Amino acid sequence: MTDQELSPDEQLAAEYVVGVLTSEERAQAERRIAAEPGFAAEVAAWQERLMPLLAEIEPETPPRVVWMRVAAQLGVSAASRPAGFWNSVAVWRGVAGVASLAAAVAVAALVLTPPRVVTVPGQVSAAAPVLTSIALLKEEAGPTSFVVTLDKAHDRLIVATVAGQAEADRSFELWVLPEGQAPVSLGVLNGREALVLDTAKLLGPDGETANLAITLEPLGGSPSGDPTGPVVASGALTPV
Amino acid sequence: MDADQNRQALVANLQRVASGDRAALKEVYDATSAKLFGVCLRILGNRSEAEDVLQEVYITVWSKADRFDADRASPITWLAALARNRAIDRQRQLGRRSFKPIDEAHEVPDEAESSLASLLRGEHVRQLQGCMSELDETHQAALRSAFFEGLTYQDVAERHNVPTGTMKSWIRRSLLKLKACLAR
Repeated sequence: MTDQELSPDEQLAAEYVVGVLTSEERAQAERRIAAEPGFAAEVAAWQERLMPLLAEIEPETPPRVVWMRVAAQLGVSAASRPAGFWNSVAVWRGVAGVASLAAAVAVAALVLTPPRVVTVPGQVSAAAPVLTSIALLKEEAGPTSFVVTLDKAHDRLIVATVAGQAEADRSFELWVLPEGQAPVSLGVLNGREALVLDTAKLLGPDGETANLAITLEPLGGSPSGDPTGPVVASGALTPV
Repeated sequence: MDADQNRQALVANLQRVASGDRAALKEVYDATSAKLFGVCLRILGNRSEAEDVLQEVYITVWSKADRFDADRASPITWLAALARNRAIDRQRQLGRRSFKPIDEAHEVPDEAESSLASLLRGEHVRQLQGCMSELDETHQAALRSAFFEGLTYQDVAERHNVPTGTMKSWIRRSLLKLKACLAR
């Protein structure tokens, strides 16, 4: 190697890392990175050389919504909603009625609350969750309002609130909607975000999926045992 | 935690992400998102674009963590390269950005590491800064604006009011000198 100039490949690798190439040149370089280990190694070497410059960049905390969107996107891509589910919810919504209050609670509350995982004292160990399934509960076509993850190993369901807060005199209640049966309450979400339950009963016959919904109920939960308030969010629990 | 521990934790978390561990992805996010958001913001100059790119970056981390090889790259370099590449691609898609005043672009931070995450501390920052300072001042400023803002040769040439060919030779010469200096 001469000390007068870099080899063409090395120069291209450096230029790619600096970021001075046009999009066509970048695309070309990326094809070579994928196909030529030698060229990829040149690029990696230049990355190691130049990235320390980034030490000069001030960190800037991104808004919380970025993480929620990441979590939602990963969940959505893993989800395959059973056909007919939305129809059944639509029917249910028709019966229960959708109060404008529900929309206000679920959608307008863009004030995001941090997802909290609260274990129920004495029942759940602090063991790291083994997440086997996830559900994104939201208003139809609305933003995700709750992220529910199933930790089968510890028989618990962890509910993280993304958006929405029940009014002081109301409660959110979580339901599972078994095929062809009445909704079954899984509990009221008054700040209790980990629900310990028999996951075998929660999951459908395939042992993997479940349809969930959250309704707005009188304080403390539905007095009748059946959902009485509007559905503020719904979604399917599907394997990760 | 010192830089080594931070790095080890990040490596371990990336390996857990590669095996499908969502909680580990959150840990990686918590440890690195502020830095990477700063990197994206600098290139894109627009918060909402930078947020979109940052989201894509962690989706990519999730799907490609298995390609991270701790023996061949440091974790922060791998992540930073991912973020820069995404941000540069987005910037190219959006078309040429409106230029910021040159003063803002070529500010040279003081030697203090300021709020620098300890993650980068172990990465030869001082050596690189020393080598940068050996470059011709104008060339150094050009290389900095190209790197920090992801400008094309043409854009950085316009910024510095020189022909594109001149800018290419400035930056190529600077890269050659940097390589030699870093190898010392």
